[in-house]
Amino acid sequence: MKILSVKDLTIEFHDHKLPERAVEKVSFDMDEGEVLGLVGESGSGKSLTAMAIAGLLPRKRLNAFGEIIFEGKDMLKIPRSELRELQGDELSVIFQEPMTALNPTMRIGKQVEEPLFIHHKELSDAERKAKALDWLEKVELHDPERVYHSYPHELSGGMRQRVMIASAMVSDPKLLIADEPTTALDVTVQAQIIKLLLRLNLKQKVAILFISHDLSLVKQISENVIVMQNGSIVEKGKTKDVFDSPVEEYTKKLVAAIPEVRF
Amino acid sequence: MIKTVKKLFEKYKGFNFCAGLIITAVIFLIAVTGIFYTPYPSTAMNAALKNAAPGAAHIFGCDNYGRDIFSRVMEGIKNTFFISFFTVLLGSVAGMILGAVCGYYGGKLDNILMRLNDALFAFPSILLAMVIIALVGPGAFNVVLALGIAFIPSFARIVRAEFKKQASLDYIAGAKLMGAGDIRIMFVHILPNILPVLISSVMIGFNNAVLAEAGLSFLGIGVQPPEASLGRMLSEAQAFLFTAPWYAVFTGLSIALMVLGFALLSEGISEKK
Amino acid sequence: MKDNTSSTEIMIKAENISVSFTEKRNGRKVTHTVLRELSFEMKQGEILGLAGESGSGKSTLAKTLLGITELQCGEFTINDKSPQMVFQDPFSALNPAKTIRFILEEPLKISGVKDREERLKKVKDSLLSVGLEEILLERKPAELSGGQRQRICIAAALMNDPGLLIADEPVSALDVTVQAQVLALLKKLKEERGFSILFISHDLRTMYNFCDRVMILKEGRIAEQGKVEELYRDPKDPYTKLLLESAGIRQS
Repeated sequence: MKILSVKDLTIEFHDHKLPERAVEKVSFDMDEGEVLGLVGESGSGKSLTAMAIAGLLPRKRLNAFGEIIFEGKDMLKIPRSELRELQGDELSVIFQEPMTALNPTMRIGKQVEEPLFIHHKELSDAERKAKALDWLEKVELHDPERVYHSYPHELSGGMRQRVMIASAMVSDPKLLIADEPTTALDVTVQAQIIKLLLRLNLKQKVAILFISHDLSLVKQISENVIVMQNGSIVEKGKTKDVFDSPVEEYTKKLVAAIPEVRF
Repeated sequence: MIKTVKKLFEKYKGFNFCAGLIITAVIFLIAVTGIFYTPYPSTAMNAALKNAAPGAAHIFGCDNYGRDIFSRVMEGIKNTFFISFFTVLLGSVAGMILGAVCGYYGGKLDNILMRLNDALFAFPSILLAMVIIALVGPGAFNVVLALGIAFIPSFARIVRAEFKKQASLDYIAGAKLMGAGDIRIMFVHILPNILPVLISSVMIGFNNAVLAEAGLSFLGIGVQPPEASLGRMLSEAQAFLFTAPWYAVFTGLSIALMVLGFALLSEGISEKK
Repeated sequence: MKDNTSSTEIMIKAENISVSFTEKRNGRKVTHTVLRELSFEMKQGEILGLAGESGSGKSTLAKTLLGITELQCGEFTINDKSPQMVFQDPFSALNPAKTIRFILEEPLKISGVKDREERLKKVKDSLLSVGLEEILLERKPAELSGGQRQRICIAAALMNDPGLLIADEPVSALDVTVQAQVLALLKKLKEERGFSILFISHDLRTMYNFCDRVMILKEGRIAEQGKVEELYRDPKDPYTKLLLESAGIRQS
């Protein structure tokens, strides 16, 4: 079952004198429960594409054309109010920087509960708290009760990213957009977060759009991959095929740039 | 020279910058001309022309002693302009050195100097200037000294904050590794990076100086009679607001224009693309 | 001075260096020990990798060796008059107000090269040697790409032919394809001029191909050190194993 279908997505900056195309005619589909990697270097348009799907494009500065069909709705055309109903409920985003993505003045528990507070008003306070605690446990944080009552600065980078994931998953979204979720973390923590995401994908059947510049990470996590360069899709397919036998020149260059370790 | 001016215009083209530049240039021209030439001697009295209305011979009219107001305005602009100029020069150079040393070295020296600075900052600068003038006596030179000292703290603060920010960046560590000395790092490497901030605060400082000088003279402790200064003239014009309104109007307008010119200029510089 | 022949071959010799910072928190002084009694040697002409996660003390070690951070006890000797450094963030490592020409001329001016023509020639040569073109001379750092900037940093650091170059995560802020290019450039320059590189990184994959020897730092101590091949093939320390597994180099 298809859950996301992007057709001819084109994004232009319109505060410049000449319209500058940051993303050009990008099309792809995502199935339910799929993990799709989106790879590219800086300026490839990968983050803009993700933001467009999440409905987070600053509409004043950017023009987006094409279609992004999610849950039968075109994310580019539906009004703000409908967009808000989807965001944080059916679709969640985790960002690169767990330092700034959490509100420093708000307790962790409240931040994890926030999506429930907005989208599931029928739940009682106790039910919300139970759900939040449950999710803090599911993202493998020790002592969820303590974490629930702490502030972001009391947690390490890896713990914060786990909290972000809990907050993104608490309302059981169908699609999770992960924008470089491990770039700011240490390698050992990185590996743990990747494993956690894969487990969540398996158990909760959440589809993950995993955006990264790190090919070796994408190789570990996603079945399918899209390679972007200068705003367009260069190559897409099964991760194994793309990396083992790249067709396009740019993909070859990217693959060659992964330092190989051979004993 | 012409090339740099052209470059400047290309960089800052905008209404604010151009209007500010024109106004400031006119004021500057008047101030410089005021040194050599005024249509009438600014202190020459003529009882027959007491409070005379503006006319062909005296375009701004005459004051209560029958002195030509246009000449006095020129003289006043000259005094106010140069007093403000030297005030800002003194305040900004001293403030810059103080701020640079504090921001770059930090530590105990910074702590002590900045607490002193805070103590100075606690007084309104006009009050501080009045205290200093009470100690050293009135006169153009003393006004510059008093206002200059009163202006140091605000410059020192701005410069210190900027230096602190820059000093922690990697390029400074790089320069140190190459063996660059502290003075060289402070004034060759860091200073150009804080110039935009410094320039805009100098512009604002200049306006404050114009107003402060006018204020001091208005209170009678600035430039002494019979020398003309815009503030002093405004205070004299008060008594004749109804019999000779042109006295107050033209004097007040000159102050307003002077401040407006610099305000527009600094606005124009900060809005560059 | 006991043994002249062997001491000239050593680049860095560090014995028991410890570094700690004191910080005031809630009015109380708190001391963090960042480096704990580190001892190691680095040979001349070697590329020594320094790997570790955030908080392991690898950047502090670099700063200590360069004299930016003071050490509390222990001692070290560096067999080079002015070791240079290449920083992680090429955006803050170049003075934004200056032209590339100024940035590259500065080390020459400081070291006392008076002749303008000579300086300019050297600057142009160094630009070519890092694979950049002369047109960049009058540009400012903001007009260059990240890779170009990092090349300028390398050129500036190598201007006075240092014997030791400390590179603190020199490529981690760059795109992957650019990373490979910059590393290849560093290696080529090293082969040509024979300086030593202390290469600090968290990326074990990059280190494998770039370094001769690797030191793994954990919480201010050396967890393990050795030749790259041996250390990667047969890690002894559990932490090294964990690092290699996390980077996807070894299977658990």
